[in-house]
Amino acid sequence: MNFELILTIIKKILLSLIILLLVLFGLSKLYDFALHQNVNLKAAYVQKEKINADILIHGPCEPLWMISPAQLDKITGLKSYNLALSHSDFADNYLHLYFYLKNNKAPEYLFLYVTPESMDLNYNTFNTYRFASYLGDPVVDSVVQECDPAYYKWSKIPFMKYAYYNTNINFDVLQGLKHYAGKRRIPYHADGYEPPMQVVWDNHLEEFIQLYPKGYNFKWDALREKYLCKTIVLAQQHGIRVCLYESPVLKEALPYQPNRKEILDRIKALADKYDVWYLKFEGMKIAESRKYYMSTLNTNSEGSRIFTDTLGKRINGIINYDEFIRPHL
Amino acid sequence: MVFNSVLFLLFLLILIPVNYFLPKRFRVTLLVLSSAAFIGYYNVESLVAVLVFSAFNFYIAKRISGNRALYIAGVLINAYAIIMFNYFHATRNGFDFSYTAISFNLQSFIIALGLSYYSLQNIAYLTEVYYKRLQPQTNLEHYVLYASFFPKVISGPVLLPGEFFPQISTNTITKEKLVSGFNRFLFGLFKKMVIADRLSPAVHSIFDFNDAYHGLTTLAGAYLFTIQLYFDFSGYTDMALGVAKMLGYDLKENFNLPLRSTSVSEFWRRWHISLIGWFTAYIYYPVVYRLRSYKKAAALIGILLTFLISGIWHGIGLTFLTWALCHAIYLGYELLTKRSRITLSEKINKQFYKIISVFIVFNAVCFSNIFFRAASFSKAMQLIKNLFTDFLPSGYLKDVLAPLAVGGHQLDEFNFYSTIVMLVLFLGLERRLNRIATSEKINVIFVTACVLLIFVFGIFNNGERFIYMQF
Repeated sequence: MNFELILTIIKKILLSLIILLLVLFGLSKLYDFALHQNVNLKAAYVQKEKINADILIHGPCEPLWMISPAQLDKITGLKSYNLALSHSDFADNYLHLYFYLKNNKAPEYLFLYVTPESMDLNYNTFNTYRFASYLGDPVVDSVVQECDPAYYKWSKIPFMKYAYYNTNINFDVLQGLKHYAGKRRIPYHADGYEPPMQVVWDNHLEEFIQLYPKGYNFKWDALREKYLCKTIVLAQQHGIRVCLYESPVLKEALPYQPNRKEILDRIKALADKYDVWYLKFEGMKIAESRKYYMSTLNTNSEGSRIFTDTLGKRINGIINYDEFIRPHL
Repeated sequence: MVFNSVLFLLFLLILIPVNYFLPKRFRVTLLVLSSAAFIGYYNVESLVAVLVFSAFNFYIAKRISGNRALYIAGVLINAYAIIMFNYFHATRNGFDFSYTAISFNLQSFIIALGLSYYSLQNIAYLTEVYYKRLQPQTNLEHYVLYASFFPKVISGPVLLPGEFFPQISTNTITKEKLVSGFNRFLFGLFKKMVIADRLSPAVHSIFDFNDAYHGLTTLAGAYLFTIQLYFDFSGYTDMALGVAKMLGYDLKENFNLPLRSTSVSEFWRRWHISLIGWFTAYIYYPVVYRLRSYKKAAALIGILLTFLISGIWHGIGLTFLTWALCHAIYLGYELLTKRSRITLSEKINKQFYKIISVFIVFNAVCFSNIFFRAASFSKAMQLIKNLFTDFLPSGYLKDVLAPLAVGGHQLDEFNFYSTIVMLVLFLGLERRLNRIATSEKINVIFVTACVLLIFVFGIFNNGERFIYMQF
């Protein structure tokens, strides 16, 4: 093969590569745009619209499915918003709070769901794909780099930040374009709360017992702790009163969690260190019956209604304490 | 280092230009070293195994001519190696003999990479030399390359010695070969990442959980597994053939539109062609030849024996034996009813007969594949029971497909249905796409579309290993 032919091949390859890179770059921009238009994505919605809630509910799927802001508002007389996201860990929660505070006035209270499960890597995760379109923001970059280094490494290649988790993203892009075309401003779940399914016991407890007949000891993860602390500090820097809370656990599951109390004590110690509340609901009647639950931690619609009612009353107690007692201490 | 990994792409990016510019006399050494690196990257045991077995077969072949005892010993040792390495899995407590069917647990990955494939090649080599149809190799390096050539070492194609050794001396790399190899590799990557891996969750949901689904849902799961297996394995083969071509070698085709077969015998001429070719040459023909006086019974015994050995080659469990038995029954039936089927085909519309035949063959293959994929025989029986109970849902068609769109959210449904749309489009255009993928010209639309679809729809994180890697 002569030199000219090799040169022609190299030229063709380079040309193809340049075209491909340009296409991928364009596609990446389209995805950025579409994801920012999707009001069903909380990261996009809270940065696009003013919510300005007085109370923020935050955490993974338990608060997402269990706490109705509409019900809470009736009890407290304040405006609340549910910022929780399914399967999210504290790093995920931290970034969503960061997004919220970028575009909204700081709420009075942040209720953050913290349980022994939250501290264990076997439960929930950092959902990198939720932040793909925000890479470039130094805060987002640093969290993504720390929580998903494999992804972060490849995200520098054009479009790879979307290609890597495309099964979680493509649908949101199409929905974003639809929202843009339809000038939609209100998400499907306007106050962030996703009501639980009516009656479904999901058998997780049975599977759990089968897997761990002698019970499971929760493990305390340092990265989870770090982002829990960062979330508390971020809120406190904005003058937000932070309340950590644990929802009632189905009583029959407790014998299979031998170190639950020990981990709860560690969470309490952490709460004391940052001078924040840690609310527990151990004595609640609903914890005694499966009829209020979908799984060990997730209540069904009736259980959620009862729990939200109880939480609302506790919030009123905190508000009263802050308004009338604390100033005199 | 699997074919669908970035590390492998980097490996190729260095190897192909180096091989291209290297003087011809050094290429074999380079490919042997690259193959050693490729296999050794999995584990050292695999590398040691391929080297030891290559040396063993190379040296005994020199003394095998006319020595029946040595020939039988050589064949038995290679066959024993397949059984030893395929069924003894490394566990934390040492070695464990596994009776299970396909294990998708990556922790129990077979320790000797590709051994069951190159052992078949070794047996073929010893047989050819023993019967004096081939001169024994004089160059150990060439023999090691035959056994360990990395594009085919993981899952074939199984090459007969006469198909590989002549290529070592005539090895040439042209621009056309590079382009054609690149097209083929990209096409395989697309099949694997965009179709096979995206079907995996749906198949997993039907085969690996204990939920009792409607018959139609189970049937859809069985269809999807056959399609997943086809795209996974033919995708791998496309990549293997593409890489080999870029390195100057032509490997044997393994697939030829098998899902359009109008009979099971035709299916086996179009599916895993190299393996069935090996079984035909070294098991079926010798058996039929020896029993030729029994006429049709000889063919039936040959079919049964060939498929039983093929089943054992895939795995010792009852599932693989039942799978093999299904195919032996199908082929036996076809052999015995050949004349009446020809008469029937002449009486009815040809196109209609073809459509019905394709439908029946596809269903027969999918049925047998329930045993191939199920984690145990009892699980396979449970799935078959599901097939015949409560076939249609009382509600909507959506309920049938819901368990396949794992997760049940709009996003999961989008992922599932978009895969089905791409799959249907692909199958409709398959002939044309195959032509483009084997072409020696760069088709900009094809390359751009493949790359874009891989980026937009391909599974990058936690992509599945190739299914046939475990055999």
